[in-house]
Amino acid sequence: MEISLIVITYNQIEYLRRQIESIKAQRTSADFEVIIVNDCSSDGTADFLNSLQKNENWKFINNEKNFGRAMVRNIGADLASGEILIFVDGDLYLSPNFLEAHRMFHSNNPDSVAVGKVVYENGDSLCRYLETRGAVKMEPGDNLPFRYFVSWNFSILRSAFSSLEGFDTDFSGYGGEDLEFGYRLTKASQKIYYLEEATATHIQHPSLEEMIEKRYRFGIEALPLFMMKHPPAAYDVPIYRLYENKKYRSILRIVFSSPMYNFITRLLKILKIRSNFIYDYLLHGAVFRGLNDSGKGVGSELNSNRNSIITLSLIWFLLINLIYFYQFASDRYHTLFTVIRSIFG
Amino acid sequence: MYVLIPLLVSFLFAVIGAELLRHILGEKTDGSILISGWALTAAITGYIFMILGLLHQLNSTASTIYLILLFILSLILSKGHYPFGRFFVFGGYSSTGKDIRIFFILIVMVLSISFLGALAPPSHLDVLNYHFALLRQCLQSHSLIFNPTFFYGATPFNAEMLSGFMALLSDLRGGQFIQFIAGLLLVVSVFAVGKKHFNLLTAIIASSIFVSTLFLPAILSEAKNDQLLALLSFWAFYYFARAQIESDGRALIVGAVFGGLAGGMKLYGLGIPSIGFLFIIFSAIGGKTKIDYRRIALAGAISLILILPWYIRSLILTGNPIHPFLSNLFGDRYWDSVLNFKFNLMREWRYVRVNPLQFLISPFRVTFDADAYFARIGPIYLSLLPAAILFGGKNKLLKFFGWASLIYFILWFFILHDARYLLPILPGLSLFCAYGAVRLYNSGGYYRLLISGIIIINLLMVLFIDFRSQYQKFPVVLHLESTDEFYRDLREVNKENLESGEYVKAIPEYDFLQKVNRITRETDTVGLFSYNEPFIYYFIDCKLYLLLPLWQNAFDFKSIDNKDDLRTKLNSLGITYIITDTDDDKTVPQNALLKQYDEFGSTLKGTNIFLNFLNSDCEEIVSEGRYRCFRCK
Repeated sequence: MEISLIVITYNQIEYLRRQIESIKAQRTSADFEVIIVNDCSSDGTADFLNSLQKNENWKFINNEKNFGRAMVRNIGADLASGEILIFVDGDLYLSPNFLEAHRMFHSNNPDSVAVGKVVYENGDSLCRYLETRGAVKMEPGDNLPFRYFVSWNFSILRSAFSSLEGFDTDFSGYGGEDLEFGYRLTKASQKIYYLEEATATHIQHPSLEEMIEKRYRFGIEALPLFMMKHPPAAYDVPIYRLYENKKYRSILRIVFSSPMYNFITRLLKILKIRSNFIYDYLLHGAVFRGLNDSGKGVGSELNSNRNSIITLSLIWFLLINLIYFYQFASDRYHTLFTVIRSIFG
Repeated sequence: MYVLIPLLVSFLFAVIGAELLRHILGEKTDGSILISGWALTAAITGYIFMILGLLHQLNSTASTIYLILLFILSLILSKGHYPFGRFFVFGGYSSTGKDIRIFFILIVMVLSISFLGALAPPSHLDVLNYHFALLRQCLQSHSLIFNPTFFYGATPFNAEMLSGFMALLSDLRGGQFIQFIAGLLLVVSVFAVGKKHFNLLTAIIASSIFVSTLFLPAILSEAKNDQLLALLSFWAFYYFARAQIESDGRALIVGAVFGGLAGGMKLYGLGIPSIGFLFIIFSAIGGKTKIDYRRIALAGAISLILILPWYIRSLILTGNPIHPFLSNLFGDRYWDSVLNFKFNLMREWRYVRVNPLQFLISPFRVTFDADAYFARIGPIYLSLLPAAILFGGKNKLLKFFGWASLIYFILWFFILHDARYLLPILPGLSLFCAYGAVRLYNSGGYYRLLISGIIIINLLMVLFIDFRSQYQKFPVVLHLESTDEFYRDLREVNKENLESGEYVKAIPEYDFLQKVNRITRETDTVGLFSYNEPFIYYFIDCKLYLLLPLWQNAFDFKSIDNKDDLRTKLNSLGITYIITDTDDDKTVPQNALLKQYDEFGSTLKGTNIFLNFLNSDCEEIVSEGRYRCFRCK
């Protein structure tokens, strides 16, 4: 078997139907198998998969409990017999030459990993923003830094995946498992490339609130765990680097403090203002706030922000008053002020 | 007497009002309910004297009967004791730091100086012009009169009716003193709410912040209506906030009553009930309050009932419920908005451009730039606002005060452009800022020293300004000079820069007007052809009409074609004497002016006929400097 396509799904039955159609429509001469791992969905995915015709090239696994993305991918990989493992999420449908693109990549690039392109179907401004993040920012042919590795559409040789012992199953919440896996790939001298030809389309559109919530969870759970496991690597994550710098941390605690962050979020919601800069503020802010709330030696958010807020408030207080008193003295009592100034030179 | 009677009346106001509120709210009598009770009874008194005015019963007998009724009512309603002294239980202060005691002493000093100033004869030109001149004519004729040539001749004047009540019992100084009491209670209100909902430290710091408002001393001792409006507004916001937070329908009714009273106090007071109801309605729509719509509608109806009398009166008299504003829209019989606007341009009135940038910088301008808004509020609000926003966001009462202040500030920026019109929100805002200040203060060490130091410097600055505003009044208060001498040398606080506390030269025609008063009788009517009207309004004893070609059309110069027309008009108003101030070159349309604003051209012919009439058909009887008084033949 040349290719194993591993699909992980959780409560995405409608999207999965479309994905299966797109898999059946693949134009490739390669011999491939499809492994669909249902991570204990509650929307009838299990019944749907059981109703499909099984054969040696279509395998369906229904987990009895929810293991999380890292473990599910590992389960899929364990069952795979293909030389090339292609991982995709269950809410993507694949372009007709998707498998062929991945196959061609590995025939030309041994010891490399391909991160495929993901676009959104009829995406809103948030989707357009997300499409421009990560690996897209790199020049074609560049070796991607590990922080740009994402697991929703990627391919790897089975031997490489096995040698790395798959994803780290300690990452059971949202995100982090791909960051960690990407780091180990880089450490194992695997090169990561962006493969534009292997395009998958995201059917599901995330809302801003969902994204903020997910990024917050990433900040509060996954990022601290990653920091603990690979302390030096954490400094390659920009938001963590800023967090660790005391000077920037104080400022960012103000910039992303609850009153300000909530106020801006509500204001943007009312005014319906959308721009990349605003999404940057909200999503990076969510990660920072999560990281800050994770309690990594700094306690609760209120306490951690308190000193910064007090200091900045006092600076503002002093500044306004000093300007005022200077103006008051120089405007109204300029004679007295001139005398005082002449006395003291 | 003019001190004792207002104090006695205040006591009765507080007792009756507190019992009424206690009955409505079902609460025990505490400090805050006493003050809000005072405000309630005081404002209702204004309505009662309006009715007496309509019935031509504005006299001492009616006032005395009303006072006796207040006394009887207080005896009937009075239950239990009233904790008047509990505000100032000094035992509680012994546990506070030295700096807090200094705050307290400075506040008392500022209020004491203003108290001395309030004992002087009325001298602020705005007061003499708008607040007392018309009231004086009302008291002379024992009825609620309307003078179409007075700028605010038909606008609501609830506070002035209260002053009238005091004036009938003692004299106009009593009217001035009752307004001082309103200002004093405004400071105590901040303290009482701070102490009730937070703690002693917050209460004192909030009071310090409020008292350090730089223009406050200039208006505290004057018989302006800003104090009473601000007092009613503060309590309206407070009860609206309680209604929203506690879903308390009874608090909503009380808030609506205060809001309605505030709306009937002054035109811009209409913003207060509007903001309160805006919050309640939004809460009801969002399901955040359990008050049902019928209760909200009832509260709205109560507010309207309290607001409407003054505006209906104005509508009947002028055809414009908010005379003299938006007169083009309502078809005002006595006012021309375009002419008035051009007149103000001609007088080089400064105004702030209304655009988003100006709005963003307006908090800074109202702090630093006295010329922009005719006064400064001082640096304390702006400097404490960020801390207050960061710390106080979770307190629901402060949140209400904060948002209400913001909405009012937006309205103020678009409509009002005068720093003193911010007074209705400053008590609430000072509580809001105090919350942040206390957090900074409690950080201890140098932080505490810094906050204390700056508050003390601000209070010292206000003390200094207060002294500058009031020192001229001290000789007359201490009987070192007579009232005549006081008025002869009168200088007024610079009303275009209230917070400076400095005096500018007032109009020196006191002797001239005394001579006119000796010649004329009270039944005569004087026509005034001058822009220096405020001083004259107040000091002329007989009835007075303003004859100004450039300002308004109450005396319509446009329709005068010959001397007969003019004579008919003067006779219809009963004008027998005319006072002129022809040195003021802006009285008569000039060529340069006509080039710039041709609207004034139509008044030129009538004006010239009028001036010829003075020289040929009138006899000059008194002359002093540029002032002349003519008798019409």
